[in-house]
Amino acid sequence: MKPGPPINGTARPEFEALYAQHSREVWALVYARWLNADLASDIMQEAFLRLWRQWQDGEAILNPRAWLLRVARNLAEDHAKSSFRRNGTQPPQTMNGVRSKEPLPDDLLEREEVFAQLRKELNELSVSDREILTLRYGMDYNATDIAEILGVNVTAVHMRLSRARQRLQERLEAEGLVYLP
Amino acid sequence: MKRSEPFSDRTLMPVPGEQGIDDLLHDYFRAKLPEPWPAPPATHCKPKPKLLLQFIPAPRQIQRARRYLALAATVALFLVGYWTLATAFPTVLPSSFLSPFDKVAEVKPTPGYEIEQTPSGPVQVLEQKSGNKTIIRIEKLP
Repeated sequence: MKPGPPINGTARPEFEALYAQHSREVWALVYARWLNADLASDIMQEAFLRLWRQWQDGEAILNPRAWLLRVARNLAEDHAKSSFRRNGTQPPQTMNGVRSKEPLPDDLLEREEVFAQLRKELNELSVSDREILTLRYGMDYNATDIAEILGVNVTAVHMRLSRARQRLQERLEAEGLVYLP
Repeated sequence: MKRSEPFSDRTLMPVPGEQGIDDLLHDYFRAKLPEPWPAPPATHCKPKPKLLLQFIPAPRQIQRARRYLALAATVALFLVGYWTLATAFPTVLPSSFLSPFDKVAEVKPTPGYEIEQTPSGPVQVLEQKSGNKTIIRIEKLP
């Protein structure tokens, strides 16, 4: 078993290389779970920090990518159980008066409305549907990449992607919402 | 299969279409990706606590030998301790704790007599010149 790099001058560049290589897909998986970009960023960073700590402790990580994805998924699931998610730090009414520092332009606002609707429909899909859609459309991953991340074969990816897309399209059509160029 | 279309403004239209949902999803996820991408988390090398004695794990055989040595030392310490205490505090039992045989040993034979063991107990025997024996039975007084 190969231990992680020694925590000295060589570890940080290796850590940054791993971050550059895998942080987006880690983020994507967490985003697919909660559809919350900030939370996904926090969990993604936490997963990388845990990897660093493993290295510090001299623990061996054979496949850092798989390790990161697994830890991020677990953290995302743990978030469901956390009191922070259940209770929050502020009651909703406290946040009512908070406004964005920069007013949204109209076109941006319109796009945000569409995205909000899409987010609502994505939220109605299963997590596995959201994962595959996020990896395909958010990361631009091909079927082989997706298959590797999700641990399924390429045919299954095609099938699941097609079905997820179909389900989403039906929902959007039912809402009279489809986005065309 | 990799796509790298630039992000473009779209308008909402109530017409379903294959391309529409692809573009919508593409734009949606692109918009949600943090921009700029967050920097890797700061990592600090935690300074390990300085130890006066660095513990270095020994090979398994040495560890086993150490265990045996520790056991042997414990047993030796126990024996030495026992011997020391036994020497410092010798056991003196009161006479009532002695067995009848031990008590006989305390009785000094009358001058000229010898103590002999008989099935009924120890006796003092004086052998006279005529060949007769004078026997004094030793009995415990209440």
